[in-house]
Amino acid sequence: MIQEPTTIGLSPEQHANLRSLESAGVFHRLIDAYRFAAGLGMAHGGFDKSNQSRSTIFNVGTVDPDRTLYEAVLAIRENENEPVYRSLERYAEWGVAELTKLHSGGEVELGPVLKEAESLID
Amino acid sequence: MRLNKITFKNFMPYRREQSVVFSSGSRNVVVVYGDNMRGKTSFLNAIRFAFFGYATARHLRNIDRINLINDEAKAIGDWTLSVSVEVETASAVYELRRELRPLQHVAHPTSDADLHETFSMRKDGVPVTGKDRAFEMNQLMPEGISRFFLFDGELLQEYEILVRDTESAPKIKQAIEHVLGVPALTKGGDEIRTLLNQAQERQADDLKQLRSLTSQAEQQRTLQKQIHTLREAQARQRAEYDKLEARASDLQQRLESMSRAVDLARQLHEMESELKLINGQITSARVRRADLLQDAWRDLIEPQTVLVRRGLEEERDEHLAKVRSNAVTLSQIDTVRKSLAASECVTCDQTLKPSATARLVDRLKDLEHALAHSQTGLDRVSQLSNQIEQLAKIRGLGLADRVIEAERQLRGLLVSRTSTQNKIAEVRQALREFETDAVERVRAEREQVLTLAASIEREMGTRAADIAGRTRKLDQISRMLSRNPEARGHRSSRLVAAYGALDRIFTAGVDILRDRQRQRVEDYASSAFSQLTSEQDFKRLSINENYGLTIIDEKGREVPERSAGAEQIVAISLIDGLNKAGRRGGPIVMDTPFGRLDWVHRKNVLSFLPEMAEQVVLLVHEGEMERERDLPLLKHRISKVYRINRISSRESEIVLEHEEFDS
Amino acid sequence: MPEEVTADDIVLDILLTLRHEHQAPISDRLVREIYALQKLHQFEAERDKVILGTKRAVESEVDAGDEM
Repeated sequence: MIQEPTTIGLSPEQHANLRSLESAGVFHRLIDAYRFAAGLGMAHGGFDKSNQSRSTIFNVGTVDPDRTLYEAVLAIRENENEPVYRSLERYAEWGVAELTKLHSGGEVELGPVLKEAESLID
Repeated sequence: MRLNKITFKNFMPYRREQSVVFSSGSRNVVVVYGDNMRGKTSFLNAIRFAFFGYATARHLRNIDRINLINDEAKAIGDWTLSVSVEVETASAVYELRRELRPLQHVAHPTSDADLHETFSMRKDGVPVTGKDRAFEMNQLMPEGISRFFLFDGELLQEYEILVRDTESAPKIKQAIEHVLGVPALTKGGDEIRTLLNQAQERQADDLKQLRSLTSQAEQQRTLQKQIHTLREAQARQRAEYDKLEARASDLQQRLESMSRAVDLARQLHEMESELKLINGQITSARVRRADLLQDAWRDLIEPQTVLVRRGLEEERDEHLAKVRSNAVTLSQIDTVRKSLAASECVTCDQTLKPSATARLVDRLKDLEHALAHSQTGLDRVSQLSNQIEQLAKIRGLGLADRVIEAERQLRGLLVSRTSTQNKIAEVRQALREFETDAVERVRAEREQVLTLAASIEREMGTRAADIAGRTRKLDQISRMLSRNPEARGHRSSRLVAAYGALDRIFTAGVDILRDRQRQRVEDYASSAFSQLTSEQDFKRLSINENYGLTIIDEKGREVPERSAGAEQIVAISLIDGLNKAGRRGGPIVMDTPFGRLDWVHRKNVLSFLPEMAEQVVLLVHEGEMERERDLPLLKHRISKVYRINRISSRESEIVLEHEEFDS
Repeated sequence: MPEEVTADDIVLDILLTLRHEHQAPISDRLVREIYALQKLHQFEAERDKVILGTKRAVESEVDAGDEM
């Protein structure tokens, strides 16, 4: 049984991007943005494969108090050789980069992003 | 006098060279349709400009020449303007042409001083120059009369106000008296008086020789000197007064343009409040969206987990099927074992033969083999069920549509904000030209100037009375001297007698003329009024000293209040009265004559108009005169219908729509 | 209105009537001549021509009277 980490985060670059998203008023808190980014990665299979160092930003218990994300990542991910929360980090890393791209064009539109995710199952 | 054709280029909104041909004969009405602010008043001004070299804006103020040149033309560096008009009288055909050009070394004019005007006139093709020109112009369209024949809507609608307003009333009265021929007597009277004074001075010198008349001659001389001094002082005061009036007028204009500043400031304040409101709304909209996004991640992960869950469910179903199948196999093994142990078929109770036993042994081996290779167990099913249960807990909240809506609202607000910000920038730019504190300063200065002018006017009145008193004394002495047998011998005395007689005739004549003409105007205007009004109670019009008209009812009482429509009809009646009583009939050009009239009155006016003058030009907008309903009333009198079309906010053009309008 | 009377007619009529009523020592002809001058130049800014013309007309009548 692989030991799960107690903290998770992002690379410095994406951490900075995350803060920008928060200060632009798109999300109330950093954690909202992080979860959304992770969800985005999971919806699209966006997975950062690099092994760059990631800074600690959150406690796992704060991000995923009811282990919903844990179960979801566990079910969805293809790679089983690492802790589940490390995989979550990878999804989040990809998701923040993606959100940053969307935001760079001006006012970001996340409604269509959500709508698109819905259509991925039907 | 009849207008044949007018052509203009770069005049106010009319950029390209364009022409309007007027009417002739029994079809004496031309209609020009144009929406507000498109160029109707400019058309009127084109006629004014061709004849007199000026154009007027609100409150009868002259427009700076530089502002007459079309903006589009200016934008491409074309600073020339021309208006020419062809006119016909009983005796000749005239062509008047007026042009504005920049002075030779000026590339980009910034004021009237940078412009040069040329005016040329031809009579029957032959150029008319110098002093003859002024004479001819007088015959065609004396300037003082033009106000009542180039009749703009403002004048029609505000006639009553203008007559009561102390600033404009004298101008209006003067203009009316021009039409009625009064200046011939007032100016004539002044000139005769000047000549009389000169003759009296000569007479005084001559009569000083006659000892018997020395003292009267001395008195005469003294009075003449005093009157002369007083007149000089009067002239100086008049000049000062005129300067003050002009200043007051300028300040009034400035105040009006400043009231625009106050308007703009108010607009700015409103828009800034609106911007604040919008910013607040944007913040709320963002908060709403961020609220929704807090849990939106669940919607994102749900779809993939659903997919996985479905897969797991399928797998579990497969396992369950296998488990059931294993249970059947187990039961079968049990039956076979029992049969082998009893050497008897448990199903049919028959003793097993050796061959059957061997078959059963084989069957048992197969069944045990199949069971052993079945890779399943309830453990796996249990495991799958747990996983499925976990994944089933992952539910989205269906927030996509709400987020889309929230973002749509946000977008709309952002657009509003940008638009409001742009408007604010525009207003700020416009305001930069004004200094709102200045309004009070200007107003105060104007008050001062008017007070000073009023006191000078009073002094002028006193002085005039003084001069009149001395003049009367002088006249008495002159008459006495002229009757004196010794004096009568002198030429100077006879000249004094002649001038004196002319002076008395002209002076008395002015009042008589005014009264008689006023009466004629009243009669003609009343006649017109009775045709135009639909009110049974209104009997006639009564005219006062200032040419203000009052409606008199059938009981002979003044009708004190009147509607805007009645106002317009009274004004039209006045024009007709002046036209018939006045010195010169000419074409009538009316700008928005129907603005305030209801249908019944409009019908009356429409029927009446063609009779008012030899030529009538109506400048109207669609709402004022409807083609289907109103034009047919003038059917047989309309020679042409034109339309002013908008090309851009800075350019219009006049096009011919109908000729000999019949339907 | 069937009247063909013009404003000019009215002014002249008034002047001639007054001349008669005042028993003025001038002729109808002079009155007409002076009015004609006024009429033609009613709106001119420079009135020299009018003043000069009036002066000449009056002087010529007074001088003609002398000769009689």
